[in-house]
Amino acid sequence: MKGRLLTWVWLLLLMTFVVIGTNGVWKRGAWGRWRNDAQEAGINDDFKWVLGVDDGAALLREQFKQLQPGGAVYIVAASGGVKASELCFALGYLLWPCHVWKSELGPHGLVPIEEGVGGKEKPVAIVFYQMQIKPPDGLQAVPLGPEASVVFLKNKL
Amino acid sequence: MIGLLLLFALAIMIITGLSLAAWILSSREATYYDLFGLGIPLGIGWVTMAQFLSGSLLHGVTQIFVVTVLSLGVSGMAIFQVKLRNSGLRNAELSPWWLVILLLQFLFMVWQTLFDSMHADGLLLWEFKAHLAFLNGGSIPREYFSDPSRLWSHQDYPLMLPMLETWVYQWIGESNQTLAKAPFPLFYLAAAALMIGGAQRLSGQPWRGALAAVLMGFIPSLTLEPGGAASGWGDFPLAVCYLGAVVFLLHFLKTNSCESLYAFAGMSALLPWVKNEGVVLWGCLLVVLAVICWIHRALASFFRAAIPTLAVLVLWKCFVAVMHAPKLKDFVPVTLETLQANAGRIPILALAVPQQIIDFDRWSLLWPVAFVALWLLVRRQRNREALVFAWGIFFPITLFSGVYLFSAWPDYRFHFATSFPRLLVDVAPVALFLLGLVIPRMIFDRKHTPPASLE
Repeated sequence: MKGRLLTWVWLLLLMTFVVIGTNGVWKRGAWGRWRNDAQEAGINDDFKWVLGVDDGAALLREQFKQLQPGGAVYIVAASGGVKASELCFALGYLLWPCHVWKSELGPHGLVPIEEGVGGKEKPVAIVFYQMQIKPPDGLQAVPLGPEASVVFLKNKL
Repeated sequence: MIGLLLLFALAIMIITGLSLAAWILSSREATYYDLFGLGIPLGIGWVTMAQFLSGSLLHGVTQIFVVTVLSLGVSGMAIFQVKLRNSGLRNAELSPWWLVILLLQFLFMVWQTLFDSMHADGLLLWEFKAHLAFLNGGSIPREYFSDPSRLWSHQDYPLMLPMLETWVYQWIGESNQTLAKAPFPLFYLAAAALMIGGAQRLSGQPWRGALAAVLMGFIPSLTLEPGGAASGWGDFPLAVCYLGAVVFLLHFLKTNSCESLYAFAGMSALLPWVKNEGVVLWGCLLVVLAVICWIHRALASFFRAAIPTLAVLVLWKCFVAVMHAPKLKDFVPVTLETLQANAGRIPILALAVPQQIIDFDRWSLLWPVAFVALWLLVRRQRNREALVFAWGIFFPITLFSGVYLFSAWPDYRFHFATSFPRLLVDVAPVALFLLGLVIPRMIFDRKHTPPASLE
């Protein structure tokens, strides 16, 4: 009798396992559009999140196509938070072999956030993350999306 | 055309792996499930290592031609040896219903793998390197490894996955983030095969492994969550290699067979080539092997099992040192002072670990049921099998949770929450395999439970 009860307990556990698991899998399934056009799908997803536009990677490639390879790009963010980091990663992915640094705009110019690991190169472009951060006087910013804009420094283009 | 080229790329890896596995699996005990479970990871390991080693000398079409010829040459040699030995594999008797369910689950995984994007780690840690290698003719540019502005991409991470994706890109002639994930369902297939083959070896009842493999499809963390089989991240491939190493270690300890020792050595050698955490997992199993080999004065077996992994590890560490790859400082040095300074984290982590483990939405009932199964196994059967399961599951989890005492992140809780669930993925297939072995034993073999004994 005890043995049969134990068998039913185990079987019930296994069934519960399957039911809870099915619910979890169902919630996480990618049921959206088929990604056969998924060139840089991840990058675009990141940029959609960061910039608020669907085709962020293509937009950035278009904007940065004149940039000299190997130059330094500085990202200026007020908070230096997660979104600015995402932008730094995504630009670092897209703009190889340019160096991409997360930085802040101090009273005397750009200050790299990652101290001691670089950020001392002369910038070829500055990306302003969060539109409330205004570029210094005399520099014209090109909007990248609702959240960010970029200034290409003329002497490097 | 791209689809055909992709099939070629996958077929070369699979043929090479199956041939190498057939060479290793020499006993009459080996089944076709062992062949696939061992062969798929070995084939991927072989091709990616050949890609990496040839990258500094060869480029583009020449490189893929040489790697292909080399792989097929090795396959030919292995098959010749198998023919000479005249040892055949046998089929494990398994109801076709299990195979139908597993096939449906596998097709679902293929669909989801190609459907979903790579997300952060898949893209920034693994595919980024493959993208660079593809643009550079098959090898990652040297200057990348010492570029301080790309510290976030972990230049010191091993290159199995980037080289796997590069292999695909080189064959299809473009970098394509959808097709880069195409080889990943193979790991899922290998995990299922290892569970079935392992159950056949250890219990003579392959359906127990099939039960574990079917349950794997109902665990979001192992399937669709970041780090799961469909994500294109490194955690699931690492977990499959660890499962393979555990299965063959268990069989070696049970039968002392050379075949299982070599299969264990092969699977272990892949661990540090997939992810850095692989070294920790290898270390855990090596301790068990060392103790048992020491007791039985079989140190030669120990060295035969350890040398391949050591070779891979030394090769990769030397490469990282020569390239001056900077290391992202996620952890502070492990010292007594740091431990004392961070002792306040212990109760918080001690609460956070069970919270993660009973996150049913991610793990279903895996961990509670697996711990009950482990307790029953240890209580009833104090032998090497129970020791390996207990050590192989508990020790890595303890190490992985303890490591956050030394987290260098300003918010160590955030560090824990974002990475610990993926560390659990490394061990989860072993827990699942245990569950598959033990639960049917509890249900059907209660009357025949062997007396408690310490072998």
